[in-house]
Amino acid sequence: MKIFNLKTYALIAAAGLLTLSSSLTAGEWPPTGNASKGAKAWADNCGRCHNIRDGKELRDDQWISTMFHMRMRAGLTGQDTRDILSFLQASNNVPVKKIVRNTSKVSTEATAGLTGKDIYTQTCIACHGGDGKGALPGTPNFTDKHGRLSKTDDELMNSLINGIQSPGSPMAMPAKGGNSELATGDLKNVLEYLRKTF
Amino acid sequence: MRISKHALRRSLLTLAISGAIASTYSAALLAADSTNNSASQEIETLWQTVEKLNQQIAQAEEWKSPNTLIHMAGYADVNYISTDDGSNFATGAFAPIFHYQYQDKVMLETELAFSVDEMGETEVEMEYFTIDYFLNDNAALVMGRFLSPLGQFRQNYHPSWINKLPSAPQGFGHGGAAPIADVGVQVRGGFKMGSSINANYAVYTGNGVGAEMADDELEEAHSPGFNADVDGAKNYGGRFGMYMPTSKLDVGFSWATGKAGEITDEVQTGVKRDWDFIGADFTWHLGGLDVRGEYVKQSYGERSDGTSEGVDFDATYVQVAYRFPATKWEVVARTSTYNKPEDTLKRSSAGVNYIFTSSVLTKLAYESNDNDAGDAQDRILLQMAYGF
Repeated sequence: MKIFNLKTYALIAAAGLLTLSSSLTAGEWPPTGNASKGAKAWADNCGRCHNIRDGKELRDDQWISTMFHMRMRAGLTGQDTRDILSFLQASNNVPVKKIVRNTSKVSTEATAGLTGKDIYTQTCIACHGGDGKGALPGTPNFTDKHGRLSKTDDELMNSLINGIQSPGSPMAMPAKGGNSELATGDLKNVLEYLRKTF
Repeated sequence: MRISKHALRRSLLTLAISGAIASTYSAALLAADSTNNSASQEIETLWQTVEKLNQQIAQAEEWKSPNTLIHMAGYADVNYISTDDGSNFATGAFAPIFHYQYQDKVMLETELAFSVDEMGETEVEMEYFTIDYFLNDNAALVMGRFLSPLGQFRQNYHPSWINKLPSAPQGFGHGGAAPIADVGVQVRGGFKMGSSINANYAVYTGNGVGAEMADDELEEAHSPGFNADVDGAKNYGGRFGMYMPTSKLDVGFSWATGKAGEITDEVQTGVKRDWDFIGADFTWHLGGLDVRGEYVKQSYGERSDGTSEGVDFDATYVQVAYRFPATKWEVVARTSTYNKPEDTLKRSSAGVNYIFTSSVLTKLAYESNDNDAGDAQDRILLQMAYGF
């Protein structure tokens, strides 16, 4: 009796080989992704099918299964999945709010080893766009004379450090743009870049 | 022996001073002991408190990444429908999706769809049920009953919180030209093509689709995900997609082939026909603008004895949506056509959506329907959808 045809055998054999080629050992999981790259992958991918969801909508553990489900639905790579997961988990933290009253007295220590432009193009560009006009609906337009950049340095540093919810934006900008490794000096560099560029 | 008064007084004085010093010293020693005991008890209490706190913190951390996760997502919608014949409230689908996941290795996924028919009877369908094994960063093995990987609307856009209109395009619902589900095995995943393209793919083999017969004529394409393979031939195919983040353009191409078993009066007869599928889809974003479209075609061959001809089912839709900047309002328009052997169904829809949160929205739409007989009714649809 013929159970499968040749093509079916070939497909099953290919699936079997792929199974054997995978690592069967399990270590710490899920490995931590790169939250900075995750911000870009999140902005690039999630809006392909549905409205972008705020990291605060779910807890860290809920985001794990949600992201693995989305890996299956959207054809994401494992690395993109981990990066987006790390970004969302960083975004739903509620940091201790820090009030900046005088930006000139804020620590200038920069730990990322990157220029303000580098940080902008790695982390901020996902939502704010290369031209500063906003890549997602509701993201403020930095080139607007009366827009977000008309605020004082102290106000903008508070937003960069603590995050901010813009009206009409699908989610609040997370503290430090979702990249918790950035120090206040790094954020000052970003602010200087914004002032110079837009 | 005689002791002088002076010497006696001196001895008594020395004795008294020594006694006083001794009693003061012993009192001091006693007091010191007491203080030390009290401090030790306080330190012990503090350690016990710290230990309890550590236990509570460890327990609180447990939920963050246990080896096994249990999770529920899904969507639901409620509706109001108005036609020339009248109007009614209607519950749509309540479709919970359950995940049971072991680390980043295996995930069980299943979606059930609960609905209520016109007579108030509850119906339950298993939309999909798969065990997914994550092979590596670029591939996952999927086994079970899965949403057809052919095309985009059926596998990704049909949930009511994602679909921007209250109804599906013609030909993309159940019994349409776009396959719904299959039972079998597939490998799917994604990879990078250079620095500017994210590729995604799915290849599968399964029991295949059916051909709904009426009076020896093929009436409907049928692909509910058969749990048997009466025609004895597995179908196979897949979809390849490319997403270009810079231009926000997503394009995909689908292809499949195999056999389709005829179904008469809900029974698979074992008579089979050749079956082929082709499809193409795209999505493009520019700021608040979202444009989508898809074309699908199923071709059924003629019966080998020539008693029934081969026929095609094809469907097309194009949708344009725009979300106004810094608001929760969105407008959407869509046109769709479903060509069947004996009929052509057309639907044009226009609507406005209010987006409460990213996954909760209200949709109001006017829908113009047309068919060859001219008896299709236009509808006004109001829907509240929730993705959870």
